[in-house]
Amino acid sequence: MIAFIIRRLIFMVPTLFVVIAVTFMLMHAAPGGPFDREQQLTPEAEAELNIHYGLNKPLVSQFTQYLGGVLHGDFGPSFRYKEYSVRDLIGQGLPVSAQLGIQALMLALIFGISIGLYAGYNRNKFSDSIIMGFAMIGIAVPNFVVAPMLALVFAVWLHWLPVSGLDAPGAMILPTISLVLPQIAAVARLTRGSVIEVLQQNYIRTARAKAMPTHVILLRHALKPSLMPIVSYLGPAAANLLTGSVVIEVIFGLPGIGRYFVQGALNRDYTLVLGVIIVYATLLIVLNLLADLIYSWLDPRLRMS
Amino acid sequence: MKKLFELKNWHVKFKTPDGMVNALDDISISVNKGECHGIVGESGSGKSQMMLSAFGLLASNGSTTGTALFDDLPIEPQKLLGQRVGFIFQDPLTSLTPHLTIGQQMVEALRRYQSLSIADARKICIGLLDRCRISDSSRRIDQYPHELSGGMRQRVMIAQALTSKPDMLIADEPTTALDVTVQAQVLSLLKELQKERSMALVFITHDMGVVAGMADTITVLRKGKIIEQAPVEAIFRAPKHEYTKLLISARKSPVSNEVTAIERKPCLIAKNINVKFSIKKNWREKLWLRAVDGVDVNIAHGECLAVIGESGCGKSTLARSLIGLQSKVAGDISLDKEDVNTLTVRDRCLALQIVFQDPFASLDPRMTIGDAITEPLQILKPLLNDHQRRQILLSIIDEVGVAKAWLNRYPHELSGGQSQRVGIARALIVNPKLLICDEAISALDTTTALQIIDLLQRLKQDRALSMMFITHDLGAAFHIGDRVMVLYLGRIVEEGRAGAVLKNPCHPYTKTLLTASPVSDPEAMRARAAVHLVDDVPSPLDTRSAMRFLKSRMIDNPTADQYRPVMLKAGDDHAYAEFDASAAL
Repeated sequence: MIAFIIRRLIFMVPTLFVVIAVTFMLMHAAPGGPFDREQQLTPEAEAELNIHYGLNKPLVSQFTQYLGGVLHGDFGPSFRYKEYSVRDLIGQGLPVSAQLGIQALMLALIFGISIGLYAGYNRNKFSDSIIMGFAMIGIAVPNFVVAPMLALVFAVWLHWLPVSGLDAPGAMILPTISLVLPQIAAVARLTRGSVIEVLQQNYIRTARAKAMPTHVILLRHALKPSLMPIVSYLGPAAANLLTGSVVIEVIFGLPGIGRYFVQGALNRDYTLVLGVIIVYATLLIVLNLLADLIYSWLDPRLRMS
Repeated sequence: MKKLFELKNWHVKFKTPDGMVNALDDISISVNKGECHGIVGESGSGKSQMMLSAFGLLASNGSTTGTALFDDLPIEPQKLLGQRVGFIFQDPLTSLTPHLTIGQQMVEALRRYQSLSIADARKICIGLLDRCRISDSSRRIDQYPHELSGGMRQRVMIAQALTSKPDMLIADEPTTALDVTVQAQVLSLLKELQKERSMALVFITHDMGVVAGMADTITVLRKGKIIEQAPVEAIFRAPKHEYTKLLISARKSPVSNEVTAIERKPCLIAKNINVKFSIKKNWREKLWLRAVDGVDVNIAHGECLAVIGESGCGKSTLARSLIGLQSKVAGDISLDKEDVNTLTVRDRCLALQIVFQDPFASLDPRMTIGDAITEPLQILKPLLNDHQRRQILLSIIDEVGVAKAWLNRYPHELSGGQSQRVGIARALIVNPKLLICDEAISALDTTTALQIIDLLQRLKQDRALSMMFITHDLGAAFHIGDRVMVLYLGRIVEEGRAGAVLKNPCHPYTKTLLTASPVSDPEAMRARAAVHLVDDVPSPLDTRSAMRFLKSRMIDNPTADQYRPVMLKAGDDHAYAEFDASAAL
């Protein structure tokens, strides 16, 4: 098991390398540069800036220089926020984004799985149809629609919660809810489908033949195997939460790293975008590793001898 | 004797998108205390639904009418299941919860109605596992179902059902997924337990041979209706219904049609076939599994070689090696004295064809039957025009009994037997020199299997077809084979003319197979000595297990090269592998 984890962590290195290289090339291939503003800089000033940030060197040596920095934990200076390094910016923003993401993921799993289990057990009954109808809406309506509506109702009209920012109490509630709703819906639908399938398995029949009560059948015999597709969804779900949080952070004005991502890309702030990408990629790889570990916990047949 | 369980005018219906389907129609049966009642029928006869429906275990779209009594009282499933009635099911791997250990599953059943501490419950469970001859039960109890062999899993199922000390045990095809030798063990265990606990046993099966030695009374079901119900002797001595006769004839003692020795013109000769699979032990070491271990095959023109073996003996790998579907095959294979390696893929496919086990899975679900049958012609004989292809197609479907009306249908619209006929037509359309049937009848119902065997036999005579017929069914093997070959863990243990091997089986494994396979004869089945084995087929990964019958020459090292038993002559065209005089399975 430990050998497996170590092997997977070692494989992270080439994956990250490819991610960095591709992003680096794409960023530089995009037209424009970090110093294009409405006010045109003089060519001399721009050349000076380019020299200062090493942008006059050939791309390959810029890349190797950047990689060398990354290995030391130095993600370079931000081109736009001149007084900060990328590391500082991410260091400030990541806790906010991470809190938002982890909260949302937990809520999505807890509510999604419970609702899905209930709907799957009451398959094709009225309650199931209602739940699945709502889930469909939850998936279909994008969170950039949900978020302003929630803000309108709960913040502007009812004044229960703050509209934006992080300072007022309860500031995380609306962003988390708007981020998590589509995820709850997705997890619930997945769980329902797999619960229905698992409940038709032979071992459920055996449990019924042993006269096991319903809650034992559901929670002890059916739940674990029903979670397999949820675990597969964990990676994509995390990715959805990350990209979702980009939008949500902008709407609710949260100082997370999501908005750096958007602004960095628009401003051709090469180092900032790369830094955020590295964080996201690492997170996804680790989550996928986690998913594989959860698989073997759920199903002993996958455990390595 | 007192009645324990009774169904009167029992109907079961299922609500399906196509409307109501009658699964069981006016069923009446009764089971006495301590009696074994055999319920025999083919797939779709409703035999499983009968008992499931009586105890409220029907799928949610099913409904019942009629009277179900237990101890003269209307059945309340929650008062009987887990207390007075136990179930065991066909496929023990899928019928045990995969993520719970044996112990967890047994203990929860035990503690459902008895207030016991977990430790006490465990002790009782270990006792029950011991009783069901699970070796090393105190270790096994903490294992997961997938870590046990098929036979052991089924014995765990039985032990689990016994936790409720049932007055009636319902066994739904409990041995169908098992090898014959393992089946014999499980049957003798069930028989013993039934006597010892004076339990009633309801034994549901499709195999008349299996119930012959077990049941006191037999009910034969077909398409949801009872067609015959009688004490076991009466039903085997004088079956009234044609269908019952057919079921019984499917399991008559093996006979072989002794043919006068004709001059054998070799068709396929394979020498010293070896197939090894590497299995990763850990990231550095590999283990080698010798799936086929030095097997010689010799099939003459117009002859059928029946290859007999249990799961894991390498019989399918052997078939795939001969036909070229297996990579990394060592050994020489020649067809009509031509080395197959010098043949093009096309010529090899034209000469060697195969019929697979699962007729549904082996046909492309998106291809019509007609297209599936003619596809080999399009690929292997591209010069034919549409008209010629159509002619060949029409003549072949006429020969194998595929109706013209099926040609535009899709595989899911056919039954198992019909699909298997399509498989045979597809294989024969290129007129191969040798047809390999890899467990071609195993997935079929008894009566359908009989028809397919008849078809193959007729084709063999009409076309002077050479055949290799791979099966685990001894009756079928001796029926159709001119010569038989018995494989055990990748090696030949006995080989020869079918008549000679049947009359004078020399190797202990052949003898065990012959005594273990069920026959439609209640007296013979009852007279059989109980099979008290604890072990299943040993792991083919351990080279020592190949020496099971020749322990005296074994080197006790799991990786060492072992002595190879030599083949001894038992007669003209009859040979067996060397074994210790004391060896037995």
